[in-house]
Amino acid sequence: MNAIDTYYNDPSHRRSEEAAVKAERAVRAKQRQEAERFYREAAEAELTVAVRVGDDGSEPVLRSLFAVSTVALFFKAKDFAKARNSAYLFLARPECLSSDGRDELEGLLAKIAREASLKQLMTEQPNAAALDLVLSGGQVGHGLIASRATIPRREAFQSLVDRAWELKGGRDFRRRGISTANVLLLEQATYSGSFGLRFIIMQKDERPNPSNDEPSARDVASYILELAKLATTSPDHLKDEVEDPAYAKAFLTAFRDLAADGKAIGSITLGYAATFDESVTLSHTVREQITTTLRTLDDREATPIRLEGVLKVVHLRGSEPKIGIEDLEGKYHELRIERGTQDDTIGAKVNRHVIVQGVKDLERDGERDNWAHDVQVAED
Amino acid sequence: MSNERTQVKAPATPNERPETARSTFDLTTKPDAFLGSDFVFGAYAEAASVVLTSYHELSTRAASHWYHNDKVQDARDIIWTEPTAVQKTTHGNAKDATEYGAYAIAFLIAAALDFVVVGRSEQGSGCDWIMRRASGGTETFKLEVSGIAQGGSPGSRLATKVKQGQTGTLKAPGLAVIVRFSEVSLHSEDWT
Repeated sequence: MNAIDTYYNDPSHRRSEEAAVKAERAVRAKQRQEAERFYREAAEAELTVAVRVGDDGSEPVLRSLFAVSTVALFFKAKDFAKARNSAYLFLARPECLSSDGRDELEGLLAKIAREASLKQLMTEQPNAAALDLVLSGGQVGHGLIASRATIPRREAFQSLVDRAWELKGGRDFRRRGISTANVLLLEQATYSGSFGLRFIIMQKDERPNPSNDEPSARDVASYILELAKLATTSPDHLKDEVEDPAYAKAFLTAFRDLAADGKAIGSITLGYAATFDESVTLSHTVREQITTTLRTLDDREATPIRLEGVLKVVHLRGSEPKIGIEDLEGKYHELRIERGTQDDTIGAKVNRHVIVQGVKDLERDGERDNWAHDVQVAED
Repeated sequence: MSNERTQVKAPATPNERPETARSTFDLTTKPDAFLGSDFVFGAYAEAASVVLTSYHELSTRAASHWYHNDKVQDARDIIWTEPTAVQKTTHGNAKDATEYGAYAIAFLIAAALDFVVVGRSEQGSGCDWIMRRASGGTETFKLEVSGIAQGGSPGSRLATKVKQGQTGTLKAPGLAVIVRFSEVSLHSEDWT
């Protein structure tokens, strides 16, 4: 019997496999504690084999497979201390591992550190909520992305949190000024094969129960995911769910700005951190559907326009907020923007190459105005 | 590599071969080429049966269409056991059932390509399956698997899985398998 069969046929490894399959079943059944118990059982069993595999340096690839498997199982069991200790145990004898195995274990250590610090934060701030926004496809590299693709999405997410808190808290739609939402948005350093933005929403003040009518950070996170589901399945339903059209427009605009553009970013997934429970995918198609719905929110008779150039001017003050675009031939265009709909995100796009989608009004006070509905950074 | 092992020929029509002589992908029994436990194979075969039944309600047998390295392979029927109501509930999440069910079918495809699936190796997310050749030897191979319920693009999913297989802890040759359950189309490709 060769080494592969010897170690994989070890009764402890087979026990580990069975426990891992049981853990997967428990994950599917949303039985988190049960899943963690089975993963821990799988990890303990795998560890007893892993330490014996190639401990004379004769099987670096096989030892690496078992070492990574052991650490990954402890990680999935959320036993971060044992995950870290077992990673160190194997890394302490680097000559027994393959170079890919060493890299993989170091990568796992970074993931463990990140999840352990989130677990710690959640223990200290039990009302906080963490959401992951994972950007993949297109030009997204291994943990790398153009910063111009993340800046507008950070702004859009902040806007989403503020607006969700305000609506859930029964506030009228804020047309100007800074949000008074009693939640703070933090961002955690990420480690991801694609590119992840992790947002942590927590209450600003430390009163245990700020006010009964104020939504908690968890309420805000769950409401955002509920709205995201509606925005991705049927933006029209979001319009119906959020009765106030100004809020509906603000939410749809934020989800549109978060969504993938199909070129620089192929796909974006938003869900609860680490578990990706309730996750939704904000694809390029979703972006187009939302843009179409946003047009219908405007009941004026209008024809669609598309303009490409550099955003040179933003005027948010006064009765008629405007932006100015210098097109690819150097010609300047002024377009109006709806008050309050883009204030949260437009600033980051100044002096950037943008694509504007909007409408030309045929009838508005007897004049023909160009309106910008979506100002998208051209990220290719 | 597998072109040397597998005979490539056009699929037989029903008139050319009697029903009983057709080769099968049998999900009802753990194959000898899967060294893991009955429990592990059974769990994945159960998921496959639930998804297959959702597309082929009147039977527990369906003709598969198998393409290996873009070439049509032997026509084989896939057979499974009618899932119980409890099993249907257990695998109620179609996305997960599709993914796990694809594992069981991939084990059968690996066996047909003269591999032995020796065991499971956990990764940061998901897991890899480790194989060796049926003829023995110490060379290690990877098995990458993905399932699609219906629609989608098996070709591009296959390309992604091959690319994924070529990275990770184990830089080794391997096999990627994509299972599309609606019309039981099976797509596999190996890399060296």
